[in-house]
Amino acid sequence: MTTTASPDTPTSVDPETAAEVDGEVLDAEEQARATMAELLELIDELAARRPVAARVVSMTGDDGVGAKELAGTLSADVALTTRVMRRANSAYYGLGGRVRTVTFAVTVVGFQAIRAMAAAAAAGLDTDDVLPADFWPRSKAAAVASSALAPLFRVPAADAFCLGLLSGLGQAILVQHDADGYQALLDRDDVTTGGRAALLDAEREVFGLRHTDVSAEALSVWQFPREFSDALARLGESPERSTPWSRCLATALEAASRLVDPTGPVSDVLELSDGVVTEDRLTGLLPRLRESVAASDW
Amino acid sequence: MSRPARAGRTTDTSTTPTTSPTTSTDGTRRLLAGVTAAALLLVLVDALRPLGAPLVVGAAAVLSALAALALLRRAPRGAAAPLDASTARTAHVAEGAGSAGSAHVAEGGGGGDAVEAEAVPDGAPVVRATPMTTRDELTGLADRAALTCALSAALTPGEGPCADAFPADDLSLVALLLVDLDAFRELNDRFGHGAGDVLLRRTADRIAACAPESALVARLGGDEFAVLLRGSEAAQARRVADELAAAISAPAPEDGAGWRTTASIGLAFDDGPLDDDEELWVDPAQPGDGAAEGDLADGLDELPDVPAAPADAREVELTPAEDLLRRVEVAMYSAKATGGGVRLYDPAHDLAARERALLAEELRAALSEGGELDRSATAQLVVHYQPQVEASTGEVGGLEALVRWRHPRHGLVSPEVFLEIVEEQGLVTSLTERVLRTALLDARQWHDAGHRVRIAVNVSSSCLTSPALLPMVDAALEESGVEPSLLVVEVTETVLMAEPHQALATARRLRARGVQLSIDDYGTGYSSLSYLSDLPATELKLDRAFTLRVASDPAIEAIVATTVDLAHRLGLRLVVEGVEDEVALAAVVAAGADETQGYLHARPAPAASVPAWLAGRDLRSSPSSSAVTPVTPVTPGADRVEALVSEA
Repeated sequence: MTTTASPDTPTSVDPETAAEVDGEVLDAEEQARATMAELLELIDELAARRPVAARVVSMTGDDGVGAKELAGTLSADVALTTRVMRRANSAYYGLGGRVRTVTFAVTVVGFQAIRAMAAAAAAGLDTDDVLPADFWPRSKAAAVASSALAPLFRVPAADAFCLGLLSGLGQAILVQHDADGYQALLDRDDVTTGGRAALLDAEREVFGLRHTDVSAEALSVWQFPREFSDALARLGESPERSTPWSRCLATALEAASRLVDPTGPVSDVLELSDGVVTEDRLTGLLPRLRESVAASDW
Repeated sequence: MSRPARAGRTTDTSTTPTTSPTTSTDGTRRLLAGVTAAALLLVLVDALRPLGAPLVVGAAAVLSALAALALLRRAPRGAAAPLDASTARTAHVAEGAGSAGSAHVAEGGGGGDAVEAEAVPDGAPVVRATPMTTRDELTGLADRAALTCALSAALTPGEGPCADAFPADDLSLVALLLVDLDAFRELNDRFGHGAGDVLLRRTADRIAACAPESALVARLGGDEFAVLLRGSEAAQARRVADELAAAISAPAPEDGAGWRTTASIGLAFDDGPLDDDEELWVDPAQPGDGAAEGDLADGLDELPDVPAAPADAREVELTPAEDLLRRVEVAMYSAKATGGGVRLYDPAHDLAARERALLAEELRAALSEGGELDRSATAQLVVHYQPQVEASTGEVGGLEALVRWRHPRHGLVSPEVFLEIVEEQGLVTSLTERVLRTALLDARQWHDAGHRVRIAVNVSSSCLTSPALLPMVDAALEESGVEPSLLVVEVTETVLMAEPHQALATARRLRARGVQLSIDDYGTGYSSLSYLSDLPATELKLDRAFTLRVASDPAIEAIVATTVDLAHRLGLRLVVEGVEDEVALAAVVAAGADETQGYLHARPAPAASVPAWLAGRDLRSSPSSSAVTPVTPVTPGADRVEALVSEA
């Protein structure tokens, strides 16, 4: 498995032509499948470094597990527990400062959100030793924005929060898979000026797949709701193929991007949201989102 | 263990929900007991399962099912019992549950009275069946009285009419959600009360389906619902609220085209104890302090108290239940004011909400003053007029009617506040009728004096789509005797585009009566030229945003000239709003505007000022005057405040 590579030699594949790997000729599709398998292996390896988080992901999918039992396991990962406690005490739930036991925090935040936070931890999303410094803030902003925008798309806010938080998972995996190669990709002119769509195109060109495909696959393997992986796989699709979840996420990612990088390139939010959110409406929402993100120190 | 009344908190009784425990009945108490019974039994099942007591669990489960069946017959979860009190049954579990026993549900006779407890072995769950009387007939949910009773019992267990609902020492976290449908009045106006009832039933079903198992769901009246949560379910209140918001707004096939149901949801917690029976977690980042992140609020009571209510508000001491109801109402109105969705109670919003609620009550009262149209100088709601001056003659061609609220204590209430309340409270139609009738009766006097001026009245979006508009216009014209062709109905471009088909249909009917139609604020919306050509309009009013820059921006100047040309080619009169200085006046007249309106000519003034304008006096400047009257400087943009009024 390649975990590092020089910027000049990223683990890339040209989708238009066949690539030669280990003496076998694979077409672009096969190469993408191989890369995906490699990335999933990497996820397992990363998860092994955070065994508690991985265990929490597993436990939250088990109907027989109660809040107290989950809290018992969760408490063994101090970093993750801290995030959950802070989240439970955030203004969002209205119990600020009053949630003082892990069991109660689990009840307040809910299994689904804890699962998302644990999955993010298991994939190394919340560590800044490998990932770019703005990675976690961006993920949090996507979660907060997704949750806030959810009612406009008629999807439950708590689930939208999870989807937003996990949307960057694939990117984190790609970075950890090939840090220098991914940085070289981020530095490309077409990516720095072209926004999200250009980034996804470049990923496909270099890695044979988009980071959203990786996120979708990982969430599917971890048995998150199918709507999540569908939404990620359909990001940026035409209105006929998109879902309320994917439109909500696309809009939230745009909002998050504007919050984290106010001078960066912008996309047409009306198109992303399929007419649900106008530019004026998003502009009006941004100050509130900014406040919410600033208040999220979990 | 009981929570004391909140000393020091005051409220105006007019803004406090009319929920007095004294209105609760025995039936209410029994309803609460019934609602809690199923939940308690389920808790019992849950608690005994790990102990390996299948028989007990089985018996309890049967009891639970029976209780739930009795409770839910014909009604969704959380709802009250069926209409027929003689057959309605609910169950109550008294203290002492925990050991196996021959607990059973006592079926009542046909008398309709409460069936008293039956003898059961010591320690067994005691189940009583009682008739229930306090439920909402439309939805089958608990009603306001039942909710109030349950809330009192949850906050002060062992006290009040529902004292036996919870053990006296069972104090746990309580959360209350208040759900209010957005634009429900509009739906009623537009599709009729039948459609409104369908929506209310559907909403009730959706809320009941989303609410946790032991929640009490109630309809408080109108389009207002409440969900009461206790203990660990209360801890999940925010998530429940989010799910409710999504569920209520989920599309339904029976919805009318273009109709989207949304809700504003308030959430407030009582400061009951949390689950602290295990080791407290300590944030590694804040050693020595068990509290997490910033200690935003160590209980709501420790937050700064809200300032006192308005001076004339009656001071009353609130019970814990009343206080929680008040706070959740504040949260709900806060959600409403910020475009819907879920909002948590925030003390900072309290005073503003109280004042706003008080103003809403006073506005409602002002609108129904004696039931008669009050055009006297002492009326609170008065109509002022602003002239539209003909460019060619300098004479007044028309008058725009603008409503004002002269509040007895606050003086002139800001149009922004006033009109938001009008929309929020569903008073648009009443207010429009008031203005229309007043303006036409005033106009009749000027017409009788020989001045055939047009009179323009603004109509908002909700009013334009209301079936009440046309009959209202007919009645006002008949009452005043004003010629229909001298009435101008002004609608904004945005209104027209929001409901294009409905707007077009109404506009055509108005024109068929001879009434003129003006497109207000033209140039700021998104109306297409093809739509414009379909509209039977007689006038375009160019938005003041152009007027302010017409003399300084060549691009704006070109837009104004082009719009004038467009209007004339379509056979429309072009009125330019917001004329505040001579330079702008000269520019728009040079561009070909037919009439101008703004502070330069006159501020809106009472009807008594109009005869002088009509006689050619007191207009500060006119487009055709060779010698311009000295103009008193006005604050740039001040005219825009008037525009806010026109949106009513």
